[in-house]
Amino acid sequence: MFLLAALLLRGSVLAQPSPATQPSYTRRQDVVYGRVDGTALTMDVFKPTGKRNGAIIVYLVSGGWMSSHDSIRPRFINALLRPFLDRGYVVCAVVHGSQPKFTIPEITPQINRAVQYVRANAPAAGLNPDEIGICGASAGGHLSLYQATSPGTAHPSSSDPVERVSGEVQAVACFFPPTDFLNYGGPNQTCMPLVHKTILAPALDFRELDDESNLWVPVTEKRRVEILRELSPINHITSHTPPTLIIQGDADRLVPLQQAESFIAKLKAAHVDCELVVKPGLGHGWPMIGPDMERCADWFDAHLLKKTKPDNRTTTHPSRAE
Amino acid sequence: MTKSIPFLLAILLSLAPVFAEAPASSATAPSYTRQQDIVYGRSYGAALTFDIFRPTGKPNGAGVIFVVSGGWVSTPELLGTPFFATFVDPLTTRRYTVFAVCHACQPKFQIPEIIGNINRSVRFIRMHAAEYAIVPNRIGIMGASAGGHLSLMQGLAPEPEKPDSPDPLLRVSSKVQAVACFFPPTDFLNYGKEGENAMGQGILAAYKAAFDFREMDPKTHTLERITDEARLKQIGIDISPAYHIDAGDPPTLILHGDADHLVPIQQSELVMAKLKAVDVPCDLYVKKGAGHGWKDIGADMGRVIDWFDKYLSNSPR
Repeated sequence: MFLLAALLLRGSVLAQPSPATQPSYTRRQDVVYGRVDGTALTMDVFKPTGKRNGAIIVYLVSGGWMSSHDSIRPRFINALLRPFLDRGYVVCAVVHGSQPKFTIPEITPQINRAVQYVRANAPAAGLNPDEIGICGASAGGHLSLYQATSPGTAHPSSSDPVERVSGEVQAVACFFPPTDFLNYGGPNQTCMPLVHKTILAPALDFRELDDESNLWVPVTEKRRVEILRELSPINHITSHTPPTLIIQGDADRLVPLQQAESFIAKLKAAHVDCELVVKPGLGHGWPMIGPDMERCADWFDAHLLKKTKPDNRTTTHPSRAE
Repeated sequence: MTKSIPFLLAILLSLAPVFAEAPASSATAPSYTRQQDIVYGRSYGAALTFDIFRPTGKPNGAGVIFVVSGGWVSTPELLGTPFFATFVDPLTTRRYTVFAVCHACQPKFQIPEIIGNINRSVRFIRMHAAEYAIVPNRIGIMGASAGGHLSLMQGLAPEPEKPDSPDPLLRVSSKVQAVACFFPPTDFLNYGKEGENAMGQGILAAYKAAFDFREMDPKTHTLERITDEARLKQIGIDISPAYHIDAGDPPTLILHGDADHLVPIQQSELVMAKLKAVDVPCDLYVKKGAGHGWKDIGADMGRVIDWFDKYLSNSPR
């Protein structure tokens, strides 16, 4: 269903007239940001050919916690990445290990690694490591919020330069994200009945490696609830959570509006800059997403670019200091 | 991942002495240039990669795939080490182009998926042969232990090409023209002795996860373990090189210690007998008293390269 939604979203994107202009960016494919199980985790890095604003957008290529490099096609790029590129952002389109093989608790560390990788490599690319925004829709929205609320910390003494920097992001803009798996649609309702026996099931079919047998074994029901709690971004909100924009339809049956509302309410209570844009009558994805992508770009402009001027950036940073 | 150490450890241990004995090759000019992380396929969003080691001398036109695997665990990190250079350097010195192919690992991935990875890598390398300055029908494969098993599978049971596939890669042959490998498992159903099942049990109990075969349950949409005995046996046959031997197979060299407890030399003897029966050029070099890896294993690369010289020459079989 999530995938379906993602496909529908893509379908609606297809309906948009694609800009007939020349590409105003360069694309470097398959930059390896990490390794897992013998494979490489990759991102495609898009750089505007014109003036850069020094900030970076991490765009999560994810729908239903499935991720495919193949989906980064011209229409995807034009609809979802171009709005940022046109304003001078460097965009990293991050692909992650997908369900059914990888479950959400295995995916979240990959996203963290991607952000760390971007931060560690920003200074050398003339970019500001402390101006990183994250963006995604649906599962990509969930992963964006999770990263924003639960970033990995820097390990200054690590032998791996990527691990010497944090996974923090400085702003989030996302579409219809699940935020609270244990209170889904209302209090004390888990998301499980909705995903049970659907194509989404494997993402939440948590398994852990058994030390004795080295086999992946299903977790107990108690453990499942613990994991669902841990994976819910709403449980990690603090006053340090970065500025957050959520765009959401009020007729979304897959990710109810309540998910965004409760999240935003908690952000407000913690005095975090936030905004919820409700799209009346819209479901899980809609045609003509262009103006909404501009809104995300506005959000990043306001919250990533405000602090410093391009001239006095990247003065001190862990990856530099090492 | 700590539990996947045993096999890895096994291979590293086998290699450690090599490392210790390795000449200070850094002092001399390297015989290759290395290009990292060529993506040859995708698996569940993750990228499958190989590194190319190109000879600094004029390439001889043949490619050798080194299957980077120990215990069906692949370690891309290994490829930049002096230890790995002890395998690559002799090949590139003799002007082979070396492809160090990594695969998705157990415990996350199982042997049938890994075999699929290796097949894809051969097709990919063949498809891009011109770019890599090799002749498409002069590809050899080598590896040790699990890497030997995967090499043999590729040699003896390549997946057939699919001429009608929309994916151009699947229209390319995954055959190799020669195999040379060290101490490979060859028959998981007759392991060490007739009737001994080692599918993640017995001698190979530590590698259970590699044999923990899963499939999508259409009802629950989750990946579930295959438990049916008959099906497991069939998979055992499918993934055992010994059951796929025919007269069209490529020349096969195996090097094996006769004191190997992890992969008994019986495994190699078994395939050698079958290869001989169908007149496929083959040779078993028995290392007297050696176990699963030996001290001067790098010195035996000469035998491997002689084999490739002989069978990857300009006249393909």
